[in-house]
Amino acid sequence: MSDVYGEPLLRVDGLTKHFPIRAGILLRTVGQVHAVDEVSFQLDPGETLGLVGESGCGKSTVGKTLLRLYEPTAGGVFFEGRDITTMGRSELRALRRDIQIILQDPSESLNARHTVGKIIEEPFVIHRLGTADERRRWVGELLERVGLSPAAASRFPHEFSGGQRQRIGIARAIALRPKLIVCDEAVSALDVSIQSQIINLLLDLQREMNLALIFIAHDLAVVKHVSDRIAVMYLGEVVETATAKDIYAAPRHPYTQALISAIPMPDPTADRDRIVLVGDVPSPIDPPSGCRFHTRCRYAREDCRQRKPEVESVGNGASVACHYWRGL
Amino acid sequence: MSILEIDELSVAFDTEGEIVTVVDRVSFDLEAGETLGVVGESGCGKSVTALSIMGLLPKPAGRIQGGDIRFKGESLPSLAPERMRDIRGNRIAMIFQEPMTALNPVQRIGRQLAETYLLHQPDLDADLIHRRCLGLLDQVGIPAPEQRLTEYPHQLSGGMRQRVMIAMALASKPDILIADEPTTALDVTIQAQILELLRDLQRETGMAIIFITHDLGVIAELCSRAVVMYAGRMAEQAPIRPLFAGPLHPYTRGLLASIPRLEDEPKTVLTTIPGVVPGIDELPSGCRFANRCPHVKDLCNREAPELVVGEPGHRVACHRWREIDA
Repeated sequence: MSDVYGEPLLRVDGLTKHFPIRAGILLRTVGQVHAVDEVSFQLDPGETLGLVGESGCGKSTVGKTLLRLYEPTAGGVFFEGRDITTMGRSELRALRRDIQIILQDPSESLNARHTVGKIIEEPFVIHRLGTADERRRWVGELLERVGLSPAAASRFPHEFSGGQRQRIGIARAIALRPKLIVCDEAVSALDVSIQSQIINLLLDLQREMNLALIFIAHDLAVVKHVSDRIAVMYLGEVVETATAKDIYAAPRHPYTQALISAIPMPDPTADRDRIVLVGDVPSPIDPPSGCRFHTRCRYAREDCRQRKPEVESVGNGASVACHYWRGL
Repeated sequence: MSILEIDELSVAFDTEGEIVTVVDRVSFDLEAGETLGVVGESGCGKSVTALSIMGLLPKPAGRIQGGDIRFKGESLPSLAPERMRDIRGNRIAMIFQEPMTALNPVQRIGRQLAETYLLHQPDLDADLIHRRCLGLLDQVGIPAPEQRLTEYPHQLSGGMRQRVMIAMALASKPDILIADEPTTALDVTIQAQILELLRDLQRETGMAIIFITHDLGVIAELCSRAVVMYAGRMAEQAPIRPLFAGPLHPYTRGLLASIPRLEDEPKTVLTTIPGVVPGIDELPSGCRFANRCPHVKDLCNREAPELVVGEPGHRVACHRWREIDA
């Protein structure tokens, strides 16, 4: 936790992102996709916040909006006390030294026609750091740090496997020694035996560099393994926040409970007390009134349809947005 | 009784003039009414094995190089194309990870469902087909089936599309359903719905299921036995409980140990399998897991291990399984 008087490394306050839906030849706005609504959380140096939820819950949009890859509709994102949402171009460029992002498919973010060396060197070039010799040495060190041979610098991304390409993406992300990395489904496409290698690498780098991580993924077991705290999202909103341990041991929100119980356990003797949610996730274009989860919640009562639950602090930095969580 | 026997099946692909064996002497049986898991990581040959059973290997690159596939004693690779068409879809049906690739995007759901009937029973009465289609959608848990019949695939969610695929597969009451990663692209709460549906349908119809996945959690939950594949070969085959409680192959052990589990302490070091799977153009002549195995000896690099019986019903392909298990 940050000290009482200071700011955390990152404070996200009421972050909202709506995407307009345009139609007709004049492209008039005919509706809004409520991708992210009033999301708030904080993050300390060296800490990992996991953002978990199913497709369309807005977790990736949160990651991209707080980096200003999307312009937020409302709300503030304060990095070391400065509001990212009002920064100008040059301030933003300077900020990119401190905040980096790693995506699911590294081949989308690695230029296929550049050598690995050039890709990893690029951040130094953009920020005018070091001589050519120094940069070459740094690239070699970075490659070794992420478990690749320095000789990889002269090869091209397509010559590497998915796991190795993700290592290249990580080498580039840590090049400027950032304070925060947003990992957006960074290990989701990898096979289990490779996924565990990359998770260990990220945990190592975090300890070594006191990195803060926002770890976005749909696999709750993976998120739980890398996170200190977890925020569970449903249809654009955070429904529950708690420590990684608590959220598994004592989930408060009915959605979190269902999400955890739906995970297939690699243990044939495990007791399965499964909550199978009925129906599909409703559309974020016209989200349900009241509590957005009420259409699938087995505890829903009449006023859940009408009254939106507030995010309630429940101590130890945890919070839950449900009218009736105490009675469940 | 075995309804399907895969006997020393080898499948080769012709890649720019070079013949590469991607499935190498794979053998397993499927009992009537059981659910058999086939598990392994990308490139292990699990999907190619499934396509070989269906007679759907990509032509002309892929072909069965050796071994046999017998359905109720009848050898499938040597069947005449008409007879194979009859078995495929009718007796053995298959569902895939992404239903959009299997559904026709410009045809209404009802028309596509009706076609599965007409293909095998061309003189069926239209009213009867309509009633059966409604019954099928109802059986796979699709709400408002009458309306769904008039809709196009893109109007359905991923979970609903997978239910339509399952309905189409069930139309002919097959003896075997091959499910190739049918829940991998779905969210976990929707996956739970589909797994429950498959379990219920199996109880109702008694069909056997081959469930192909990379997810050991799904295997543990759904299957009674499983085959573990690695780099085109079988590593291990066992009933589910002994497989998870006492895996014999170092690869299975490594795989089970590297899964992050909900009950783990957060931020602890995960067990890993070092290195990467060898590419199909650099497969070693000995054991294919040798370069990543913590127990590797000279023999492993020289000779490929045969699949041997370890314990009753439990087979393993490892030179050193006995020493490791001790």
